[in-house]
Amino acid sequence: MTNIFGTLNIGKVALTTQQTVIDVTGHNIANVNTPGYTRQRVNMTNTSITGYQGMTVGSGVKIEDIERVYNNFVEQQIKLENQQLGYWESKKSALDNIEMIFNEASGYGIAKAMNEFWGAWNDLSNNPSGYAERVALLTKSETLAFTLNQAYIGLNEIQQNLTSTLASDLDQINQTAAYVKDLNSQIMQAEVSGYRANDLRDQRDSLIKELSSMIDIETTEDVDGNISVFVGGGHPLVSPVNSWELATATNPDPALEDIIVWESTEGSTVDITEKINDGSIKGMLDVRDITIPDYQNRLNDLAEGLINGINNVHTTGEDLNGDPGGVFFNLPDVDEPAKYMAVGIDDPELIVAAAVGGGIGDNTVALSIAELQENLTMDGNSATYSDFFQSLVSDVGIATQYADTNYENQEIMLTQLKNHRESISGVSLDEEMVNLTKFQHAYQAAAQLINTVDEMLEALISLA
Amino acid sequence: MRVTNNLMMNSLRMSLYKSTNSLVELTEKVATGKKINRPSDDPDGMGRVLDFQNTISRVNQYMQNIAVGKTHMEVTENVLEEVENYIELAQTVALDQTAGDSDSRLKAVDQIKSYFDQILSLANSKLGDRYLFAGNQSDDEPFSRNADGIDGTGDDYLAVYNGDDGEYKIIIGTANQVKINSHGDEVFTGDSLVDGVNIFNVLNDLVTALENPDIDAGTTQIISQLDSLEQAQDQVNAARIRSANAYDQLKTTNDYWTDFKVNIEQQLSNIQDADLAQSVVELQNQELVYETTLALAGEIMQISYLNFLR
Repeated sequence: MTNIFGTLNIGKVALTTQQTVIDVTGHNIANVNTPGYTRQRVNMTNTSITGYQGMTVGSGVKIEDIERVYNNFVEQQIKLENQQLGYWESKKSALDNIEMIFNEASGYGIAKAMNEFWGAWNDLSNNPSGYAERVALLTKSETLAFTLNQAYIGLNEIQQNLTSTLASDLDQINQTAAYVKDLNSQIMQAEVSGYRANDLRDQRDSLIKELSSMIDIETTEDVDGNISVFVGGGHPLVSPVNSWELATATNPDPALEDIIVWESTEGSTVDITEKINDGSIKGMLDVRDITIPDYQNRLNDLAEGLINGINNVHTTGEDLNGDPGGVFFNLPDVDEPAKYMAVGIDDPELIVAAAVGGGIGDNTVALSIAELQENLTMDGNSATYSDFFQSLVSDVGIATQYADTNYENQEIMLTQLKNHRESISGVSLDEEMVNLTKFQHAYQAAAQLINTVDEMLEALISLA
Repeated sequence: MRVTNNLMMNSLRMSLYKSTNSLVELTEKVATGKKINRPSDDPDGMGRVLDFQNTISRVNQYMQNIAVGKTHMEVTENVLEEVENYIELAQTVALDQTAGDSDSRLKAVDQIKSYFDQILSLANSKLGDRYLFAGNQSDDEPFSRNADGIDGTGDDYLAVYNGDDGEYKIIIGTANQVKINSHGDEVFTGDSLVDGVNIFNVLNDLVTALENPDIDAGTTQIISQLDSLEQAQDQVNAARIRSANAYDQLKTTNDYWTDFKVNIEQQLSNIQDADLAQSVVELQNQELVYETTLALAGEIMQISYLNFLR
């Protein structure tokens, strides 16, 4: 026979159960806008005991567990695509900066400086004994050298900015890794009792997603619910009880920018720069270590070509004083011509227009130099200086456009995935409101049950 | 598919982003009037824009060079025309004096001497920093009177050429240079020509012939000088013709560059410039899309189950 207090118990458990479910619903509603929140769902089952006359009688409801509605596959996909997005985002941002240095579309640039430089040589060839033409030529030459210097230095500055951004991003990675480690122990403690620490897991997932956009990581989860994170070719970043750090360090080759190292617990460091394959860190490394040096080399080639081409002809003539022509452009540092290129003449009279012994009205050398503009002097004698520079600008444009397109595509892809995730794990207020009504009615019914049992008890007691 | 609030919001946000991005791009096009505002807008087009700009700059320079050349040649032509005139005048005088007596011949000497002075002065013409007929020794007067002339033993009416046979060239096109000067040896002294004649010597010989006390011998000499004067005139004329040919080349080339430039500028504009009318229409369209999206968003966001609960 069933116990009247058993019935009371059914009512009581029903009440508390529905109340708990309403709690969870309320939790969902409260967190509708929390980023990374996974909606929670209560799984209820019915219970039964062997009771009345050997028959199994139901004994009410029980909460099986409170689960996160969560699809691991989608989460992993998101993590992967996040890495790509981080890569293209940082690459696009750096290239947008580089593009401004080569922005010949507006205002003054290297192409225009070169055109005006050649124009000044033409003007000198038209009046080879002229002083005014020489003064103007000096000005245009200094502008050309300056413009090349600035472009090169501008690229250097972007490199340095990237290095310092890398350093601060690594700090952020280290902090995030430490938080993940903390959450690992919190989750483990919370789940010791056998229940899922849903909200802590949500937090940990967010942090891991953050990490994944910055650097490519491998994650594994163990039976205790800890997540370990590996980075840079298998080096641990987070373990169940520990976290490690990444940092920038001076490059053994002093001409190159800082490398990225992983710090072991004993204090030794390992260079992992080459082992990073994705994420915003990789995007910055690629631009800093591959793209920019390529552009700088091309600027150097252009500067060297100009300097040698002009000096070689200039030294074959004689200046206004009748002295043999000296060097026109100076090159203090052979390694970085574009950075240090400068005009080597300050007295206009030292500028050569005439061939040796040609007379003051001779313009042979000036004509030859003016014609260098159209000679195939670059790229193994297949391109003019202008052609060479144009293809550099084109390439910068192509690289930037490519990064832009890839970033947009990646965003679209990620949005699709996130929508999919949202569809599975997101909170729908309408749905929760309907549930609320549902559970509220259940609560009212349970309360009514208790009321009924209460009256039954009263009837029972009044028997005595 | 299960749709949640966030899903709707994200969808809306993405649409708005797309709209506003388009608006920004179109506004930039209208404001700058250009389709290509940075290399990544159209990398291939940017390369061509630079190429066209380079070409236009070069063509402008050629045309400037040609202008310098034309001025030089126009002045030279004027001078040479006058020189030829004076030679013709000398020819007329000489012709008259074949039948002249010693009195008229002595008077003619003064005329010839004044023609000599004029031609000498014309031979030393200067344009800007440059003596026209000095070749590349263009800083100094090309012709000086015979140094011995002043003290009486030498002759005031001989000239010495101090210039050289340097060529003054300008660039009028790719690997295309044109000589625009005539130097003293090819016009006045004839030293660089095959059958050249020295004009100053011819005039000097004419003076000698006119001053010859023996009338008959003088007449013979005068007649032979008539031949030389003819040669001198042909020589100057030939220089003018050579000059005229070069001048024509400059003119033709200039016309060519003028047309070419118009063509290139058109092509540059095609690549670079935004069609203003079209851009403004697109901008207005996009604004409409943006406004509609916002309005719709406002409507949808307000409806929810809460409105219908008692």
